[in-house]
Amino acid sequence: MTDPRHPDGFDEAFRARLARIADVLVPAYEGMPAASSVGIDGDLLDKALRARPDLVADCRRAVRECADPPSPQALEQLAATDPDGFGALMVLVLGGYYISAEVRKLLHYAGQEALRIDVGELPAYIEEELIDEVIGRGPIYRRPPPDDPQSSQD
Amino acid sequence: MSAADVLIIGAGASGAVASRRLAEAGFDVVCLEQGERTDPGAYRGAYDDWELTGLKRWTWDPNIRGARADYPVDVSESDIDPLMFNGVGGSTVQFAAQWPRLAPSDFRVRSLDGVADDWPLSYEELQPFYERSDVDFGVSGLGGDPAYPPGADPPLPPLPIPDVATEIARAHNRLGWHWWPGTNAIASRRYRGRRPCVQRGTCAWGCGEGAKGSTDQTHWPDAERLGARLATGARVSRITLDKRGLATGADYVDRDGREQHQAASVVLVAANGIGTPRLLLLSRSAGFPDGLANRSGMVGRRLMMHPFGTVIGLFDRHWPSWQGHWGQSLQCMQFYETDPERDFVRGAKWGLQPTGGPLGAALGFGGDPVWGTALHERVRTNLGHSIMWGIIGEDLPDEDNTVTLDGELVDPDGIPAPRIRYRVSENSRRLLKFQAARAAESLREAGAYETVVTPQVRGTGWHLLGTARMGDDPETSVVDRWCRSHDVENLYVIDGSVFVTSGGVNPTATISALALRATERLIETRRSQQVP
Ligand SMILES: Cc1cc2nc3c(=O)[nH]c(=O)nc-3n(C[C@H](O)[C@H](O)[C@H](O)COP(=O)(O)OP(=O)(O)OC[C@H]3O[C@@H](n4cnc5c(N)ncnc54)[C@H](O)[C@@H]3O)c2cc1C
Ligand code: SF4
Repeated sequence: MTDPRHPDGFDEAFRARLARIADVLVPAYEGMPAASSVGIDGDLLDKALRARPDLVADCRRAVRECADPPSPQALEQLAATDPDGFGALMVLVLGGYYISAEVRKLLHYAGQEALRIDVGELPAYIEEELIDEVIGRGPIYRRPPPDDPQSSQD
Repeated sequence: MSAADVLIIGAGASGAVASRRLAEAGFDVVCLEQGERTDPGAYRGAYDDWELTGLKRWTWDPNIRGARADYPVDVSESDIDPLMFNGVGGSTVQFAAQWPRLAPSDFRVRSLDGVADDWPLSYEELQPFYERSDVDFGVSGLGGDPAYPPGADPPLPPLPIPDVATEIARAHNRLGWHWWPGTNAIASRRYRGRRPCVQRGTCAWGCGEGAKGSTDQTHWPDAERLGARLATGARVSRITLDKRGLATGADYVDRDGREQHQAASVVLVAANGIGTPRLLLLSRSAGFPDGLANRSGMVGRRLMMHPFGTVIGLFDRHWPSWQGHWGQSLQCMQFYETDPERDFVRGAKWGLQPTGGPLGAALGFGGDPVWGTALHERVRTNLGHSIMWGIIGEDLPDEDNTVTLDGELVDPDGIPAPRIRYRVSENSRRLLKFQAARAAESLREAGAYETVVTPQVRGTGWHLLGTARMGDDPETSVVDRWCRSHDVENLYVIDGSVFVTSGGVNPTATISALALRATERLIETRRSQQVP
C-alpha cells in the first residue's frame, strides 16, 4: 500500500535502498563526499523529483530491479537491461548531488550567478592591440565575381 | 477574428519581424501561434535546478518536452534530432543568440565551388537588411571584422570575454589565424527597455533578464502596441484557397479544440523549416495534389540541419567556466572558405562558449555519462577548467533529406505530424573531422593540456533550413527571390525554409534579414498584390 506521506511509494526503506545505489554511482573520492553522506535520500531527492516528476516511475522500477546491496556489476547490468531506469537514476542521483550546498562549496560552484558587466572597460584585446594583428592580416572572405548576372537587383 | 490584411503563421523569429514591420506600415495583421506566451520569470537559470529542468521542461527537443504546444516529429530515419521552441518568440526563446551573417561566397557556392546552387540574391542585396535587423535585435559586437565586407557597426559594444578567450586570441595571432569578438543578439548595455546581460550563461534555457534578443522581447511588444493581433494556442491545420487558386486564410484549432477559420488577403508562413513544409503538405487540394505551392516538388526537400561538432579544451587554471553568455565570446572564420587542398568543400565557423554546470559535465557534453570515481574525475577536470569551440559547418542540400507527413503520428489536436529523413553527408563528416582537428590545435596553442573532441551527436538540429527553397526558376524552387510562392500569388514563406544553401554559420541573422526584406517588398508592391 502507498504510504500517504510518500505518495510515490518512496518510503524510508525505498529511500535507504536508493541511497545504497547512489553511493555506487557517487562514491566518496578525494575529498568529495559520497551521495548518501550529503543526504541524497532526503530533500535532495525530493528536489530532483520536483524538477523531474516524469522520472518517478522509471526510478521506482530501477531501484526495485537492482540487486541489493548493489555493486558496480549490478548497476552495469541494470544499465544494459533497463537503460531508461538506469538513466532516471543517474539524472536524479547526480542532479540531486550537484544541488547539494556542501558539494557546490567543495566544487567552488555557486550556481549560475548574475554578474555586473562593464562594457566601458577596454578589453585586453584592444588595449594590447591584439585585434590590430587580425585587421592587419586583411580580409579573408572570398568575393564572388562582380559580373555575376544573378546578383543584379530586380 | 475579423478578416486581416495579412495572416502570419508562427510567432517566432521571422513571424515577429514581419508582424512588427507590417503593423508599423499600417497593415491589419493577425498572427496565429500554436504555443503560448512565456513569462521570463518562469525560466530556471537563476535556480539550482536549471540543469535538471533543462533536460525535460526546458529541453530543446520537442519529442522529449512533449508540451501541449509541441507537435511530435518522427525521427526514426534521421541522424539528427530537430530542435525548436514552440511559442511566442519561437525558437529564439531558447536560441544561443550567436548572430553571424552568411559570407558573400555563401550566396554563390555553385559559381565558386561547383556544388549545390547559387542564391538568387547577393550579400550586398541583403546587407542593408542585416544592418537594420542588428538594430532591431540589439546586437553586440565589434565592427570591422575582416571575415566580412565593410559596413555599419553593430549598435552595441561587444560583450566581455573571459581571460582564457584572450589567451586563445593570442594563440590565433601566433598561428596567423582569424578570430574576432563574438557577435551576439544580446544587449551589452541597457537597450530599448532591455536590461544588459548578466553573464549567467543559461541563454539556451530562456533569458530571465530579458537581455537576449528573443523576439518576444525585441519585436512582439512593439508589434502588438502598433495593432498586430497575436492569437496563441492557435494551431493552423491548413491554408485555404479560393477557386482562382489564391490563399484566403487558414483553418486552425483553438486552445479549446474548436475549429476556426481566419480570413486574410495575404498569407505569410513562418512556421520554421519543419513546421512550414508540414503545413504546406497538409494543405494539399485538387489543384495542389502534392501539397500547396509544390508544383516544383521541392516542398519538404533539401532539409539542412548543420551537423555540429565540439572541441573542449581542458586547462590547469581555474575560472568560472560556467559563466558568460552562451552566445559566443569569440568567433573564428579561418577555415570558412573552400580550400582545394582539402577533401571536402566549403567550411565552418567556430564559436567559443562556456561549458555549463556540474551536471552537464557529469553527464558528458557528448552524451557519454560516467559514474563512480570517473565521475568525480570528469567533474574535477571540466568544471572550472574548460572552454568549448562549437563548430557549425556547411550542410550541403540533398533532395533525399526530407520532411514528409507521417502516416500515423499526430499532434495533440490530431493533425498529422511530420516525419524527417536526414543523413549526415560524407562532405559534412570530412569537414567536421578537419575542423575539429584545427580547433584542438587552437586550444592546445592557447595552453590546454588536453582537448576532447566530442562525437557528432543526435540532439543538435538547431537550424532547420531549406525545405521551401527560393530561386528564380519555378520548376526547381518554391518561392522567388522575394519569398513569394511561384504558384500562389498571395502566399509567402518567410522563415528558414527558404534557404538555398545552409552556409556554415548560425542562420537567424539571415532568416531575420530575409524576412524583413520580403516584408518591405510586400509593402512596396501592395497596390499590385493580387488578393482574393
Ligand atoms: C537551443 C537552440 C539554440 C539556437 N541557437 C542559435 C544561435 O545561437 N544562433 C542562431 O542564429 N540560431 C540559433 N538557433 C536557431 C534559431 O532559433 C532559429 O533559426 C530561428 O528561431 C528560426 O526562425 P523561424 O522564424 O524560421 O522559426 P521559429 O523561430 O522556430 O518559429 C516558428 C514558430 O511557428 C510556430 N508554428 C509552427 N507550426 C505552426 C502551426 N501549424 N500553427 C501555428 N503556429 C505554428 C511555432 O510554434 C514557432 O513558434 C537555435 C535554436 C535552438 C532550439
Ligand atoms: S548570459 Fe546574458 S543573455 Fe544569456 S541568459 Fe544570462 S543575461 Fe540572458
